[in-house]
Amino acid sequence: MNAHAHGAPGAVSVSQSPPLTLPIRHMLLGVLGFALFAVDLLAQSLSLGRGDALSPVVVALTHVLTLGSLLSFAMGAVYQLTTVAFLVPLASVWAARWNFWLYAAGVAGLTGSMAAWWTLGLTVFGTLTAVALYAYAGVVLATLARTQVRGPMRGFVLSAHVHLILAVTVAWAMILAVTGRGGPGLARWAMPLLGTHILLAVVGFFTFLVVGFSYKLLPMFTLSHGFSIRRQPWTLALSHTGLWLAVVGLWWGGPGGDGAGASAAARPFAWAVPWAGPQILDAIGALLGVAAFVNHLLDIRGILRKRMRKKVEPPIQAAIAAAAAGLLGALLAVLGFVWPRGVGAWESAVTVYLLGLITGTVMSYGYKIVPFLVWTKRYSKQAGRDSTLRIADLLNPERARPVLAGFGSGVILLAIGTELGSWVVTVLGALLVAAAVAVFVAEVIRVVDLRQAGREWSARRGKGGDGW
Amino acid sequence: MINLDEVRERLKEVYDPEIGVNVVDLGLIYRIEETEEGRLHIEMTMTTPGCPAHDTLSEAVEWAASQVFGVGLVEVDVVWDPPWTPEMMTDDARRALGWL
Repeated sequence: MNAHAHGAPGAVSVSQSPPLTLPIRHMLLGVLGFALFAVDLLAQSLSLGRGDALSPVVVALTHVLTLGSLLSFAMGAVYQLTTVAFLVPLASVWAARWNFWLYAAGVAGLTGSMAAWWTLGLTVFGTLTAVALYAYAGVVLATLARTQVRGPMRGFVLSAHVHLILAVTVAWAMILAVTGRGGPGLARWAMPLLGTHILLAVVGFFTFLVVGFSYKLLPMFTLSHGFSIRRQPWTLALSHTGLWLAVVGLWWGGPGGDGAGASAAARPFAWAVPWAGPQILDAIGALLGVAAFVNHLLDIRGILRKRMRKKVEPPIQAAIAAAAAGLLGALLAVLGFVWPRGVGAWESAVTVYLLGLITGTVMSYGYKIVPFLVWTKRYSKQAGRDSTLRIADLLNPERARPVLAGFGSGVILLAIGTELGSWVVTVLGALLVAAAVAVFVAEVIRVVDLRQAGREWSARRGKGGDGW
Repeated sequence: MINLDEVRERLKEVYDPEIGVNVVDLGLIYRIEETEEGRLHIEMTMTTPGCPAHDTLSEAVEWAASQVFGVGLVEVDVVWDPPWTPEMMTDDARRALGWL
């Protein structure tokens, strides 16, 4: 089984892309989130070094990264890539446009409420963010329902958005649990709710999205054709099974998560796996995650072997390294379940996974996608006329090499520092990550050229358009 | 009568913005024919279905072809049959991509 074109034979094709203003505005919000994250990471690096992972400021920092930058950036990319990969227009550009503002307001309020631990704000802005994310996932799922493209890529992207809906619902329940608004019954399940939220969001949404779209992006940027796709369904099956075994494992352990003192009624999935002890399911789930990443990396090797662009650009090299970080993160998770070593072990696994895999992938592809969008908006009309300006002329991919290498080194130091409990190494890693993210933000802003974007926005508003 | 060789040469000035190779050497141009006097029909494809540069490339091809003497109207159809394969590239394209 090999990769092949999905277009209908003989059919004349038309572009399905949404107006560029839609992905761009999400990505600019994502860049703002990255800038805030870099500053906040510098400010909070001392807290990280003390292993204070669940303090309000660190929780807020995590959500500035996940909601403010990663998810915002991902939403913009998904709006663009869904039409590219699945050959259908978005179900509603109008809803997606308006939802942007709802999302921006919700995330700003929610992360602020987390930092100040303002429980009313958590409920109000948490609800606002939840509604915006339901709307976003609804637009994408309605779009996917219309496509004739089938296969693992669709399976990953579709599942990612179902998982996002579940992750948001669990987060909302968790807010009710920790603020006491859900009653004592819900409050005692706060830890399994937290674990389920993290698994569904980080693995179920972000990882599924990254793996799914890499089936399109990697061949596109390396000009690869004729590679084998026979492993892809196995990666999808392993990912699903691993994720859900881990989720079941969290609840099977009872409110405390370790099964200690939990009655049969408090262990709702115990009937399904009476032979297993606490955390065994989580370990097996993480092990299946390892198998999924090995499979995925073998697929990536197959894509690279069939590439037509001999030189693999630094952002693509970094995206591949990020996939390897996913494997390392999953291995650390297995280790964490088999050999429990306290919060530090989990911090290192989450650091490698969330920063190495997810953030690394977003930044890597950001170096390719943002210049493409800017080039298309500003220079595409000159193509074939008086200009041969290439996308690489806007942002030379080589500029990504030191930034992404510095970022990767910072992630490794952060992981080692948290694993060993070394304050100095952790702070050094945080400084390196913050510096790399800051340079990435500066590069993107330079390409977008905010002054020119402002002029274009004013001009479009003057003509009755919606600006950027 | 349109000089189709001149059209082909003119299309060599249309570059894929990501790859940096022109559409003729990439093998994206399948057919160029004058269906009636002054009317040009071009069939082309993309390296991948749903290519993000779809509009840019097809519009650039249309504009470039319209600059050739005698061309009054250009129709560009983007088709997927046969699907593009690397074998359609010229040696110049392979050289530009680092393989020769």
